[in-house]
Amino acid sequence: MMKLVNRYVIAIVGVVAFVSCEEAFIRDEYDDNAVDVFNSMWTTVDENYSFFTYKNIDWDAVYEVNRPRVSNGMRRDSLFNVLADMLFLLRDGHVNLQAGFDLSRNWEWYLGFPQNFDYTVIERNYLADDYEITGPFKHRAIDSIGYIYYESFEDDFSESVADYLVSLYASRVTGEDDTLIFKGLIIDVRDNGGGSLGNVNTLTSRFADERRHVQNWLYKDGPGHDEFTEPVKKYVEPEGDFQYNGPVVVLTNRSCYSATNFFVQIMKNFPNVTVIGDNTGGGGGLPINRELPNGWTYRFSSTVTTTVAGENIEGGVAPDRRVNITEEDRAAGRDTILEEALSYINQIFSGP
Amino acid sequence: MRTRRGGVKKLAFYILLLIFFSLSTNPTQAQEKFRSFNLGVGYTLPKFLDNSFSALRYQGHAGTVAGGFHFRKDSSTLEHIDLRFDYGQLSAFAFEFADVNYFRIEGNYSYNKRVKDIWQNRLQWFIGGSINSLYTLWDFSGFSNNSVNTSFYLSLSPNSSLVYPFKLWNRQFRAEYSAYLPLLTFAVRPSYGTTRLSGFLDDERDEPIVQFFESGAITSLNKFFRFSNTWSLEYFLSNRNRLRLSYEWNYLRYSEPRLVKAASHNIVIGTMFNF
Repeated sequence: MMKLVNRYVIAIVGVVAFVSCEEAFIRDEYDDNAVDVFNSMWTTVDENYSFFTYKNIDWDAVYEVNRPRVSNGMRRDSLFNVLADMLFLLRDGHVNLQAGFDLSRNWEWYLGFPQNFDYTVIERNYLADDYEITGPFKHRAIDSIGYIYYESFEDDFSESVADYLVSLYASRVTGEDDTLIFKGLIIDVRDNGGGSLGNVNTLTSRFADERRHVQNWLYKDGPGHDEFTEPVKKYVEPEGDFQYNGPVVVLTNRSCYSATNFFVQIMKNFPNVTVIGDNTGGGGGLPINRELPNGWTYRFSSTVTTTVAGENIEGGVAPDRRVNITEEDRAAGRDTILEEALSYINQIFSGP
Repeated sequence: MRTRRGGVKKLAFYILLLIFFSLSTNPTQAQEKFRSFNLGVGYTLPKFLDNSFSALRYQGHAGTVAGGFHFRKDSSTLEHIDLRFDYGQLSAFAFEFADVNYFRIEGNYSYNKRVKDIWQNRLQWFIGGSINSLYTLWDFSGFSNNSVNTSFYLSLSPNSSLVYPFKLWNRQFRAEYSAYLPLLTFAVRPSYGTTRLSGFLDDERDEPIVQFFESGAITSLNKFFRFSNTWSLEYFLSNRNRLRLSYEWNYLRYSEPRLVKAASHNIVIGTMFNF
């Protein structure tokens, strides 16, 4: 009998001993020392970043160069600089390392190019003192053409604001006497660095003539640099009270990034839309966030976005009409790109 | 130091267990039949490490609401339906700040048959099976596109319980230990990059249920390991309703698509109303 009792007591003790031993199973893989912080970041980026192949980056070589620069006990700012140097090589505006004292970045996607936008010129010489502010949009009619400036897709707006704007500047809006009021619409997203894709969807849905396949998204699906899901088709459908089907021009420069890059690429799918200006800056991957063992956070692109034809938009979207602001116009306080858009719509309106 | 302190704690626990069994007396052998509705609140200490998100371990605090039905139609069966909901906040840097919202819903159904009475017929041993469902949502509030991490597991498990009715200081108690170990599991975990807001659903498609099953995989111990054990103590009130104190430890490990390990300690106090 004692043997039986002992057996069950042992069994119970064994179960109790099993309780609370998850400390042995669930451990941080890295310590918060400099070498572990470096290894944690390198490995995570290696397994999750989405543009190694597209940008022809040898991440192993990056490790070989930078790992010797790291040693335990080194200064925090020195470690930050090593990690920042490493991330800089990804040439991606969606890549940042954030410590309490600094934010690493690579902003070459616009710093190496003409700005092609001066808000002071727009405000003083085009919007002047006769414009409306509806939500985040500043707008007015210029020569019977609607002009809308949208500074950031971070700035949310409601469905009703979108409906109001497109119906206000509808090119074939008629009053009781069927009078034609506007010739077309210009949407200026220059210097718009991106923000919410929700705002992109709300705005583009007002220009969709039908449900259209506009993009493909590929999600990282494994640790290999080329391991992605099959392309997931993205669509835009007509939404809201009114769909704008008149001539639309979207104005772009190199500071159009991320969500704005998406916006421009989606708008190019619609037959009545023309993009004028410079290339967008790019930003075709959705960034994800991670934490380092020492508490710093960082982010990097983890998806790939392509056009319907399969072109990667990480490097930006090309305009239909490439226009730069000329020195003469700059000196005269004129915006060459906006003038080209006004002329283009007037030309369409006048007919061939 | 940690090991030694843990050893002292366990030793104290065994001594208390020994004292408890020495003091307790044989209960009346009248076998109970009952149907009870349970409701309780409690505290959970959750921990997880999910390589889809981080190489760091997160832990924190959560509140618990638990409920269910316990049936004992005759002396030979035990039937439990249990539901539990946890909400809390976790951090990778323990308790310094909260940056993960933690949701967990668990539902279990178990049916056990009494197989043997042991320890001089004082300890009733039950064996049976259970269906265990678990949904977890970890919301990394500071992250942008990969904030939501969601998982669902539906398992078939062998289940075992030990029931020890006893009297102590002329009051009637019932202690129970139960455990289950899933052998077959349907598991749904987000894609590798987890930038899809809902983890696995493509919002361009109209058939979420079809997608749900497409996203899942049937797996077993080689990839999915989960173990749960629960200790409970019930105190009988004069009207035969009971107060119940329970402690559960739960551990989960799933290696697809990337390794996730999670554990929780949970303590619940509640009432069991007969009906």
